[in-house]
Amino acid sequence: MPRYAMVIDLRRCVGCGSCSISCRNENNVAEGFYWSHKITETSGTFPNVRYHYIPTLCNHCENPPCVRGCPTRAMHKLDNGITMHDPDKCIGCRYCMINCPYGVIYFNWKNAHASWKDNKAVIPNVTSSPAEEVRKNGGKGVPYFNPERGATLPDIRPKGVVEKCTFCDHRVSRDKLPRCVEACPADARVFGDLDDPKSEVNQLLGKFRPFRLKEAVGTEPAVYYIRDFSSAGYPRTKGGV
Amino acid sequence: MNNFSFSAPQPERWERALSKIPFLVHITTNASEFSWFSDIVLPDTHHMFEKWGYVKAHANGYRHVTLMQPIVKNLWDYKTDETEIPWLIAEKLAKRGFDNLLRHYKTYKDPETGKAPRNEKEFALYALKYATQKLWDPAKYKGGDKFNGWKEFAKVGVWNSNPYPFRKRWGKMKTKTGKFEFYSKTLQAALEKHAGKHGVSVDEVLEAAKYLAKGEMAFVPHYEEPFILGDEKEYPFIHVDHKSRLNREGRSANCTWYFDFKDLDPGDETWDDVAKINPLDAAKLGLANGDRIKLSSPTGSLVCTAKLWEGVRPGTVAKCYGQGHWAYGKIASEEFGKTPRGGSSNDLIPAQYEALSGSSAYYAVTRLKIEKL
Repeated sequence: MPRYAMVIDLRRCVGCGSCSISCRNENNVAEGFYWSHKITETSGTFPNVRYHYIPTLCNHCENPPCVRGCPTRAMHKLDNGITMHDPDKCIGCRYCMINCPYGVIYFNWKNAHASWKDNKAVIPNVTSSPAEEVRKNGGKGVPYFNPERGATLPDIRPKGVVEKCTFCDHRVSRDKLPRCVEACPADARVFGDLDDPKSEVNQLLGKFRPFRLKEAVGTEPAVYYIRDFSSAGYPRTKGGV
Repeated sequence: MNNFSFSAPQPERWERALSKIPFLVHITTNASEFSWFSDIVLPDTHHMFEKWGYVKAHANGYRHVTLMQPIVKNLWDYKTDETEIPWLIAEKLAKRGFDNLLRHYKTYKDPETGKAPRNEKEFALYALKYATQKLWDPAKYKGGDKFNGWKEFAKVGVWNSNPYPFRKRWGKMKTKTGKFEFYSKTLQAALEKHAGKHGVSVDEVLEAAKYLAKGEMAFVPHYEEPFILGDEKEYPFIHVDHKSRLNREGRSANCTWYFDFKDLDPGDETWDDVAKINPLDAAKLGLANGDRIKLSSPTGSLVCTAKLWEGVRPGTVAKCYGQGHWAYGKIASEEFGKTPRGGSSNDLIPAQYEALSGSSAYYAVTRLKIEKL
């Protein structure tokens, strides 16, 4: 069985957000939810200022607090290392959200995609409405609806359950890379099997000193980061006294 | 498919001008600020996935021609601005006895079958095949990527040229001397002709074009002080205008995701329109994050939110272009047809032009003042 992990090269990353935008499309994710997200930081004082972007997602921890805390085992691990959710067992207690140190789990307080239910046109009989567009598209809930998500999860999650990134388990099981990995124009996201000594993820984890988010809490994330967002050079100097 | 009363600097000029036009038709995907002044609004296809067309680019010594193709089924009855609508107009004109245009359009035969177009859809496709024939037709092959026909070209979607051969244009440049000119004889000839036509000197032409160089200095590469409108005392900050990563030429403002992901632009905030100000300047003005502020230039003003950010040089205010629609759609505007969501940079930017090329100048062309509301 593979043991999936992701390596994110911060130097290749430019902070474009393609990962997060394409993920939202792939998984029919609601507005305000970010299965793929980011941590950004502006540090320093002008002119010595820098900006950093760290792409984030569920870390699919080997030691997952969300799974440990789930009273119904709705949150569970698959054999391939993916931390998966089963909404049929979810009672919406949100214990997983309390336990997760990374804030990557979202709760459906209301029905998803409410803005697409609006059927008022701004100019009657001239412009369309969100609801009409969904209807005409033959889609479900949103015009860009992706039915493939429905293979292993409700394609649009119902009110009262949580949801989060699943490493695109529905794609991975069909030998396809997670959507965020495909979408990255800089090839900054590398997916693979930690149990395969020849995999690219293992090569990168050997070549570069990786870090993971909140290492000290002991969750053992499967998402590793290498290198630095800034690729800046600087004038060669020894400083001075 | 334009929207000048939003996308051009000092759009209030366009509003005044458009109000005077007795009959105006707008071909557009969105009911926009320009549509507001129109008598007829015709729905356009989306350029990226609902029309036949091409886009040219060149960089790094290569030329590229990329195809735009209709890849989704149209949800409603819209027609392409460049081809289908002119064809339909030509058909109607022909019915009334003016068939010149239609006869001309029928000459755009499918290069592969020789068939004349019978309707607007065939015309759109055949016109594109005609325009790009040298790229996909092996019989007309001139260089670059080679295709065995239209179908293969349409599948690949892009034609790339051969790399520019070093020194290919040596001695054959499109200049007066045919050479690469450090001393531009071409510019000298153009300015002397223009000056002669108007009975003035070249130096007077340069002054009218707001250039500081005089005499021969104008024809060689030299430094020019940037022209920035506004008195420094009254307008202490230089306006730094820039584009959002999420602007598809500014057409994404009616998408909720635009606002959900707005902070992909470093320093910006989701669901808000911020002007980024250096904390030192903000402290002098008593501004805090989230304050409602009014930015004013000599030609206009807008209201937005203050954001203190170290990524901005003191003495400048950086604001992303793209928000400030008062039409365009339910999401793009705060209240459609009434209240803008955010503020449009064009309300600050003066209608100034780089006189020799005619380009609109957008970036750092004006100074601003900031008032807390």
